[in-house]
Amino acid sequence: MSRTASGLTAAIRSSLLGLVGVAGLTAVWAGAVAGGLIDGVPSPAEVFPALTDQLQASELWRATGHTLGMTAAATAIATVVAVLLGTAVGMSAAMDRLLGSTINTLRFVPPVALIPVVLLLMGFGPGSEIAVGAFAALWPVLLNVASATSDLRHRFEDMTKIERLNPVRKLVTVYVPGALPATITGVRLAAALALILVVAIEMLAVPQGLGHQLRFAGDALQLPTMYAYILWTGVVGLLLNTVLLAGERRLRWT
Amino acid sequence: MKHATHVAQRLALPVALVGLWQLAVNAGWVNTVFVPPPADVLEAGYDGFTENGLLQATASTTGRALLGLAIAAAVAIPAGLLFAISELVDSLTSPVREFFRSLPTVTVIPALMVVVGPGDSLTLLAVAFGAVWPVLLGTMLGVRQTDQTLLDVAKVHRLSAWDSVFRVRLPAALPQIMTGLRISLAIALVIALVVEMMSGHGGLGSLVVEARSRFRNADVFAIVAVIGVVGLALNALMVRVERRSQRARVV
Amino acid sequence: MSMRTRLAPALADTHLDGETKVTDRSAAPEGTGSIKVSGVGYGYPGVRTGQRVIDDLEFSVRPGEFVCIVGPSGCGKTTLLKLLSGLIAPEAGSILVNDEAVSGPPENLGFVFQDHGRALLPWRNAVRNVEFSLEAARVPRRRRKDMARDALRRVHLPDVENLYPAQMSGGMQQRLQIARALAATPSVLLMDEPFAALDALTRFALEDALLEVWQELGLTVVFVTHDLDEAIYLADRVIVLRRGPAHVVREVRVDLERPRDQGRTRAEKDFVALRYELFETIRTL
Ligand SMILES: Nc1ncnc2c1ncn2[C@@H]1O[C@H](COP(=O)(O)OP(=O)(O)OP(=O)(O)O)[C@@H](O)[C@H]1O
Ligand SMILES: [Mg+2]
Repeated sequence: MSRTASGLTAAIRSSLLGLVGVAGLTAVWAGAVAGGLIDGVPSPAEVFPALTDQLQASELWRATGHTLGMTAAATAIATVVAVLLGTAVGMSAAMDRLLGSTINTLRFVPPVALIPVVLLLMGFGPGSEIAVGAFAALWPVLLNVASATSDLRHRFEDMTKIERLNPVRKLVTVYVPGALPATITGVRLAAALALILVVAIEMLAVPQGLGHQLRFAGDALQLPTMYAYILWTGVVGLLLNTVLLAGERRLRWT
Repeated sequence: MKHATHVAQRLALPVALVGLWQLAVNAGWVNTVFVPPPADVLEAGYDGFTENGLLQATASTTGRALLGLAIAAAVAIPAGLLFAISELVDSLTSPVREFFRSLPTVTVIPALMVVVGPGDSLTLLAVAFGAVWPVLLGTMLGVRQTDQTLLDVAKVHRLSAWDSVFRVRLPAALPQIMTGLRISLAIALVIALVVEMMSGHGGLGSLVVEARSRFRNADVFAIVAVIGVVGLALNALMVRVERRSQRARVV
Repeated sequence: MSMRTRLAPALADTHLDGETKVTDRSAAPEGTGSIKVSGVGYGYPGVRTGQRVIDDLEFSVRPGEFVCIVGPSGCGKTTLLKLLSGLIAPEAGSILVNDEAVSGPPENLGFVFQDHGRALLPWRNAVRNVEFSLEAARVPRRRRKDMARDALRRVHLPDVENLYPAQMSGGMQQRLQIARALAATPSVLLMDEPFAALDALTRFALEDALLEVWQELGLTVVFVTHDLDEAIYLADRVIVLRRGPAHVVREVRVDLERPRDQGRTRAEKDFVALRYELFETIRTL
């Protein structure tokens, strides 16, 4: 009882300190701009009103919806492909030899490098966003599923033979439930990566979504608006991570 | 004999993919304007290295990524140590850190561009900004998880706070720091490329954008392949360094 | 008629209130629960080819018998259990379980692994872990829960149904593993140093629980252990293996009175004499 109480006090204290930190940083930012220490940065007094303006405009919400939609689509496609491939690679040594080295080569290709090629093949639209986002999102899920499945295969090799499980039953009763936590963690990491890549390709090429709005404001030298979009994109990223982390905690061990 | 079959299995998929690519070009399934045949890409790559400055661009992108990573590490390791040791500083900075960590790094590039203008310092700043987080996190985790027995050993030997940080806590955190660095390196390369793509200021990123805008698609494919190889090579390097740091720990 | 065939239906009947028997034991062949190993040789592939871990191994186990196998570390006891269970196939000789040549793990065979971490599924609670082996044996869903609860009760693990392995002590997890191996009513139970990692008191309790179940169900048990006292306490017969390559150097019949008792049995003159005899045998290996 007293322990939870003191834990609560500590949590409150730490959030208050956090707020102090945010306020302090904002003050430093305002001071630096007012004192002329940095050039080309709008002051908080310009950025926050710009953010409130934007929050009342439909563009920001449409852009947010677009970017999150692309992120979700990319993550979903990547998850399906990665779970299938990862299970295959983890379940069978032959599949591992067949696919493993190719996977290990492709996963170190920086996803942004694919943007020019994808644009050539799919044009300046949502297809390209999803393709690049999915390419980035593929690897955390694939790697997590493959290594979890392969661990399970080795760990329960004798036991599954004694129980005379056929491959389908092994998949359903051992591999899928056993690899689920690692899969969920992979999906969380994948979604964060997909968001980054979707925003990047929007900034570089596809004229839609948060990335485009941000770049557009920058090119028009509307700095407060650009900073408002940067802040907003950070908030969206933070919320996405928080929601996914909470979801992951909830799904564990149920 | 078995070994040979295994090697053949490993090579089967890449060979099949290139074969499919060639077949798709030959059979006219794809427009060769958009998808050049493998031989053209190979030739474009060869020309790139011998005449068109591909080697130089590769060196400059790699150099920027590594230098940016070094800056990130120089900031992140002391900062991570501080956050791990001082609960006060940790609490003060935690929401700010979480925010910047969740912020897709690419979004700060236009802002930095306004402040410092296109050029090497822009690339280095952006790379460092993106690469700082995994190292920071690795340091914090590593230092926090230092084995209590080790800390007791430090106490028994009456090490000063300073000595116990440098002789016990940091060395104990080394493996996690190295893992952070490996993750950061991948990010560093990505950010270096994006900045180059946006600012057109040299390196593989601007080369590929330029090739695309001139519809030299064989060049685009060749440069993308080179980028992939750079990513692979840098990662292999980091994995080796990381292993070494972990081996030292076991002894 | 073997002990096995007489007692097994009793298990199915007692706790299922006369429901259809799980496995029709009355139709079981005479050899149910028997093991016959003749001229068996085995060497791990790739490791010093030609050097066998086990060579010319010869012994048999009667239905319902409790046999303990002892021998120095690395002599091939685990390898032997893997051969008996069909996890690996012998290079020479033949292995018959239930009078049938073993090719792959037979039905009606339970295995208790030394390391419960490699046997229990951490995402299933106790009951669901026991049910796992019933699912594998295609027992209809509606019967599984009762059979699983019954098996848990047999190893004295009631009231933990909803605990996950990570929430259980080492001894409880080993009991759970035994319950799972028993649930599908095997006729042969193979156990690989199942109690090696437990403290002495837990070990005594589990030994007694095992003997109780064995006598009730009339199983054939092959039990590998490092511990001579444990071997004598449990077994009808102790088989001593020696190393390089493994073969039987000694078989000792244990005629101590049953049911055995941790205090009394271990203090008996015959127990002490057997212990001395076995120790001297092993020492000279
Ligand atoms: N998978 C394997 N590959 C190669 N050699 C093995 C393998 N497993 C065991 N061996 C070797 O076979 C021999 C017998 O091993 P085994 O595990 O059967 O011994 P054991 O009697 O069970 O030992 P312990 O009492 O220590 O458990 C050992 O020399 C061991 O090195
Ligand atoms: Mg063994």
